[in-house]
Order: sequence, then C-alpha cells, then structure tokens
Amino acid sequence: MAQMAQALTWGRDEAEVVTELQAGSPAAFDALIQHFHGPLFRLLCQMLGNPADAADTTQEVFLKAFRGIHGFRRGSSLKTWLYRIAIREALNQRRWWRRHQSKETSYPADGMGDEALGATDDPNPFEACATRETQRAVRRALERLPQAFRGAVVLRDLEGLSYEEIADVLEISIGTVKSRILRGRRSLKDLLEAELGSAKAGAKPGGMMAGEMAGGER
Amino acid sequence: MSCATVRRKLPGYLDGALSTREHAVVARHLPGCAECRSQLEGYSRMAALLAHAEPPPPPPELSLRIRLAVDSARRDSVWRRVCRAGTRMLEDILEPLAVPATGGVAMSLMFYGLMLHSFFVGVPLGAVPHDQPIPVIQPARLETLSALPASAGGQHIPDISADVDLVEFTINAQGQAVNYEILSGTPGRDTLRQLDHIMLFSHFQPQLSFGRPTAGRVLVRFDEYHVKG
Repeated sequence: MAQMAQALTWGRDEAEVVTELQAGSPAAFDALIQHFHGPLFRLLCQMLGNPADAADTTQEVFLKAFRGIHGFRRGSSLKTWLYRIAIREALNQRRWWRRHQSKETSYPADGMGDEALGATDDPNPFEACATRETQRAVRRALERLPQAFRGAVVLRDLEGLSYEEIADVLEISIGTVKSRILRGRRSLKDLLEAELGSAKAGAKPGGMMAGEMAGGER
Repeated sequence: MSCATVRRKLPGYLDGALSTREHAVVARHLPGCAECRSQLEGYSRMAALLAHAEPPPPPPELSLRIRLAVDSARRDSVWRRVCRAGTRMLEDILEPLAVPATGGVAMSLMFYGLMLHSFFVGVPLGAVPHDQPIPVIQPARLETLSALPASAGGQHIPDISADVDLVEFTINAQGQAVNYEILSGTPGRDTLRQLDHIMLFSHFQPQLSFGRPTAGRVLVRFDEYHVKG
C-alpha cells in the first residue's frame, strides 16, 4: 500500500490510477486517501471554519468519491473532481447549519484552537500572540465573505489552484472565476481591515500585523 | 485610465488575472500614482496574511478513520443493498398477509385432521392399544349359506365347486341377493340351478354406510372339501 502511495505521483499517469480505482482496487483507494486527505481537510477547514466539521466532511467526501468513482469522466482531473465534491459538501454543510442552528449559536470563537493556529513554539510570545490574532482575523473575515466569493478566493489564494482548475472545480467559466476573485479580494481586504482595525482598537499588545493593512493605504 | 478603474483591476494585477492590455495599462498608471501603489501594497500584504493563515494539520487518525469508513462502504456493496431492499419489499408485501395465511393454514390442518378418518375407510387410526376400529362403511356379508340340493329329480348333482370358484352376489339394502356374477369358472346347467338356489335361500347382511343399510356386493368362493369317513 505504501509502495502504491509512493507510486501514485498524480500527474504521472492518472488514467492508470483511475482504471484501478474504477476496478475497485483497495490499495488504489488507500493511496488516494493518503494523497488527498490533507489538502481536502485544509480546504474544508477554510470553507467551514471548524476542524471537527472539516474532518467529518473530509470523510464524507471520500465516501462520495468511492460511490461515484464509476461516474468519473476519463480525462478529468482527480484533484479537481475531489475538490468539486468537497466544495459542494461544504456549501451543503453550511446551508444545513444555517437551517438547523439558531442564530445565537456561532462557530466556536477559537474553533481551530490556539494551539493549532499559531506557531506555539515561537520564542517570542508577543509575536506568537499577534500571529494568532491575525489568523483569527483572517478566519473571521473569510467566514464573513459571501459564499460565491469565498470558494474562489480560498481555492486561489489559500490552495493555490490555477484559474482553469478553479473553473473546473466550481463548474463556471474562467471569466466568472476572475470576476469572483477580483471582487472577493476587494471584499476580503475591506473585511480584513475592519477585523484588524477592531483588533488594534482592542489594545492588543505587540500588534505586529494589526494595522499594517489599514496603515498603508489611507 | 482613471484611478477608480485601476483600483478595480488591482486585485488581479499581482497574479495575472488581468488581460495583457489591462495589465499594461495598470503598469503604466502605477508609477505616477502613489495612492494606487499604496492600494496595491495593501493587496500584497493581504496575500501575505492569507499565506500565514495556515489551517491546522489534519488529525493523525483522520486517514485511518476514512479508510475504515470506505472499507465499511465497500462491504456494504450494491448487491447487498439491492438484496436488503428486495427483502424489505417482500416483507412489506407478505407482512399484511401473514396473519390471514397462518389462520388459513391452521384451519385447513384442523379441517383435514377431522376429515382424515373418513378418507381411510377401514384403516385403524386408533392410538389406544387393542382399539376396535369402527369403520364408517361396513361391507355386506354372507350370514348363512343355504343347503345345496344334492339331487334333483332323482339325479345326482355334481359338487358346485367343481365348476365355479368365485361368484359375486349383488345384495340390496334389504339383505336380499338380487343378482350374481360368476367371476371364475364355467358353470353347467345344474351349477346355475344351484347358484339360483343359493341366491334365493341364503341370508345376507346388507352393506352399512354410516349405519344405514345400502346395496353392496358379496364375493363367495367355493372350495372343494372332503370329509373323511
């Protein structure tokens, strides 16, 4: 299995991998899990803002992939196919959450956990604190970003997908992808400025990054 | 190009989201506009912040958890799901019929159990040792055979058993023989006379069906016998 995981370099001969997956090879599917569970978990963390939900949804994505592998179109990319399933699952999850949770309940303020967020072994505690604060601000800003923009911005600026890949994942044209990313970045910049501005107003000591964005453009 | 238009394009300036022409126009505008440059720096810093917004690594057990879930899904294959759906459908159809069907089977068993005795006439079904069977139909039987005439008109009549072996008498409900049929043998005239005599003067018990006398048949066999002395 480990050999298989090493052999699957994704980009080598994906058609061969797909053939094995469609033939029901457990080793091929294990390798797929090994290769993609990390990136999918990170993507879902950014989309959902909660690691526990992200872990559950990652599992759900692989189950859907297992059931739907026979419908996978030859010539498509496994990566964009899995990302597409993940984005759909994240959107469904958020819709479900909105329907079933009361407005008062929100994601845990430190859903990702302070330990997980920052570099806890940072020798400078002030800098570590500032980094955590900045990361919280980024997360809150992302959560407040409209759904249509968030997917595009996360896939481009956090996951580093190309415009073509994003168009494939979101099943929209490249023009629409570019438009969403431009508008998403503008909105995110405004939201981040507001978040970092309020953090600065909260008199956090050693605000290394807080205020940087707002400071440079007035 | 105005500053407002350039600023709308700035978010895409850094990573090539703009067309070549748009990119060239923004690039020409920036050196002469400090405000737009400042905006662009803001976007650069935002990109750096997003790069720092590393989500936590996946839990170490996540990969194993997913594999177990997929294995479980693999075992729960399509065929098994189809079988389960089929069984469920069959249950849905049969369940409403279960009580009436059971009642029907029970009633049938009871009915045939009660009627069994009349199907096997004469077959003892008693469970008690030395039980005497009481058949529903008791066949007709010969009670007393009339004495055979030994001579007629001074002539000796030969023994009947020399000519016939087996004769079937038809007995009416009153116990009277109304006819006979020779099943085995070649009777002579004297033998026929003897059989007529037997038919008229012998006594028969009529057949009883459910205790009521009905018409029946009696088989009589004639054997030659010798008496010493």
